[in-house]
Amino acid sequence: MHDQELLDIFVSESQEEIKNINKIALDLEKGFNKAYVDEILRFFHTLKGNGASLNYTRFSDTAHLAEDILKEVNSQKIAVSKDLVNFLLKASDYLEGSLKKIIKTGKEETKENGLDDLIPGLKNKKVKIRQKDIDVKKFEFQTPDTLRVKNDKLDKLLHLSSELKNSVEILNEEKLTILREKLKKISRELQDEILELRLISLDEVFSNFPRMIRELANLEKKRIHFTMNCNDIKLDRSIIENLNGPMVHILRNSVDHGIEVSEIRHEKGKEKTGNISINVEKGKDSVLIYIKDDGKGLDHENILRKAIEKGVVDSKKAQTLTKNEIIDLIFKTGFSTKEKTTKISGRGIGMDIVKKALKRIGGDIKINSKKDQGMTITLKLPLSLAIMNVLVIKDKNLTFSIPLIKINSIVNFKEKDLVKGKYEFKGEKIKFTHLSRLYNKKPSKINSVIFIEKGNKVIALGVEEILEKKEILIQKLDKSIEKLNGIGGLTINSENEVCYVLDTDSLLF
Amino acid sequence: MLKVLIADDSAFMRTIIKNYIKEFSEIQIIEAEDGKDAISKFSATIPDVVFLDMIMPGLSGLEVLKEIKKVNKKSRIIMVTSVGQSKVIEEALKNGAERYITKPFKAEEIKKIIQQSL
Repeated sequence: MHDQELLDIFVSESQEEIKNINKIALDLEKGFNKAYVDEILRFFHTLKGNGASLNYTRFSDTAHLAEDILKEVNSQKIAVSKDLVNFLLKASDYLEGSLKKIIKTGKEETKENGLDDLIPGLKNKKVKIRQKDIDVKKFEFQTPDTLRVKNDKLDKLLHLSSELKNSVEILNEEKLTILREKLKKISRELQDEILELRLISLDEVFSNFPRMIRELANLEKKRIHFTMNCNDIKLDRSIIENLNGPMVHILRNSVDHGIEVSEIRHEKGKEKTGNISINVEKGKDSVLIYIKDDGKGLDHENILRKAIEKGVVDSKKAQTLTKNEIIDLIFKTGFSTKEKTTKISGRGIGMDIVKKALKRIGGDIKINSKKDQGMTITLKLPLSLAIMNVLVIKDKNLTFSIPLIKINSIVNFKEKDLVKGKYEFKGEKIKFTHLSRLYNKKPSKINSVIFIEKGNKVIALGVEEILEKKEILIQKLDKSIEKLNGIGGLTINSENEVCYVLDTDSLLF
Repeated sequence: MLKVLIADDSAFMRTIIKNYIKEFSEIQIIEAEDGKDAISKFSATIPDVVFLDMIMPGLSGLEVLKEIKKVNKKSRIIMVTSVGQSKVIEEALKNGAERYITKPFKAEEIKKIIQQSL
């Protein structure tokens, strides 16, 4: 067993180097560049030496082999080619897999790296490497369990907490108002600092995508130029965890079904190389991710025909749908435009799952598509899952809050509008329920009605009193409380009372 | 106080060397993470012993060696190398490096080097 701290440094440094190798290897594919070769060579060299120092022989030997090959590239005995890039990526994959094993068990991968078979192809004529299906899962970002914290961050937190402690110590009645303000400021800062620690840079999360696109494009024999601009934007780790699957799915759809093969693009008068891009922007309360391709776009007629066939929509209603409504059909469960199984996936498959994953984190997805010009998928994500804007309400002396994002509108309760369990609102009769039903109490005196929505459904919720709008910090529920119907989390309000956050989705539908 | 400069772009490798020599109390460790950094820290501190990695970003170990020898000839320079670097090792020894060690090296090798200077 090695010294754990040393092992940690080894692992994080190696991960960084492997990531760099992957990135530069892709750049190298564009042609020989001595600076790139030297740089990758240096990374493999470090991996070799570091691995050997911990007695990870196969790990070290693999890096050594790649280093030797790169030396031959520099001495022009081996040419830069797709096969060379494949070789380098395969070596880095092996090292990455071995690292994962080391993290788990402390022992390196004992299987052969399989690289020797590729070497003749690098030196002589090219051998075709037959690729089978690609496991895109490996390109998903794994949110780490541990966190590296910069010293100045830690200092700042320490400073804030000691300020907090000092403030409490000098607590007396005369100074109460000043202290209150001070504590408010400190706790706000403390919260901001801690929340920032939870952020992960999207550049890091998406760093595997260039490789994924390359491998998928190779598999599909398509030419694709991929660009990415994350604008240094960071997102909360809990959002990232839910974002990975959808991103991978959308991108592989773009490669497989969006971008056409060169010949067809040429016939259509487009450039032979297709384009896929990711752009990230920060909105007011959200982060927007645009995934754009210049492929064939969605085929409305095809979607409609399939939707009718699958019983997702009836043929009568189908006549009345707008173009946008037709696109929305691909998010319905059971919909698929897949004509035959391909190696990757069919557009439409799993788009319902994508939408669900986004809904789970309070996000949304939008599609803009133009036939033969391509499509843009926009993902709208909340800035944080831990912080939420809510409406605070009081009912029978209990405080609840409802996420603002779920509220459609609020009206004063009028007895005459409630008929046979339905509340009339803008000419529609909407299913009505008392909030107090949730905790099996007799209905409270209702003063307000909140219309809560989920998808196309709306329900009217009668409550006693609306207190305020505010920003709250959600605490994860203890297992025992989790069973409570309709409660998604809790927080402490300004009066130091427990405030339940309603999970409107499970409560109402 | 013996001043030891460890110049290596790998934090892992620097930690390994540090761990091996931290038992000596009369020692001050200085770290540099690339060639330029090594030259500037060498000039600022004039260390007694330097562990100098052969391959670093920017300037190579050999280039750094030539530069720091101009600043102070007396410092002992130990090249940190890997297998398959015999050519550059030869070059380094010609240019005033005292000796070289090859990764993976043993704790004893490093300790001995320090002891010789204490």
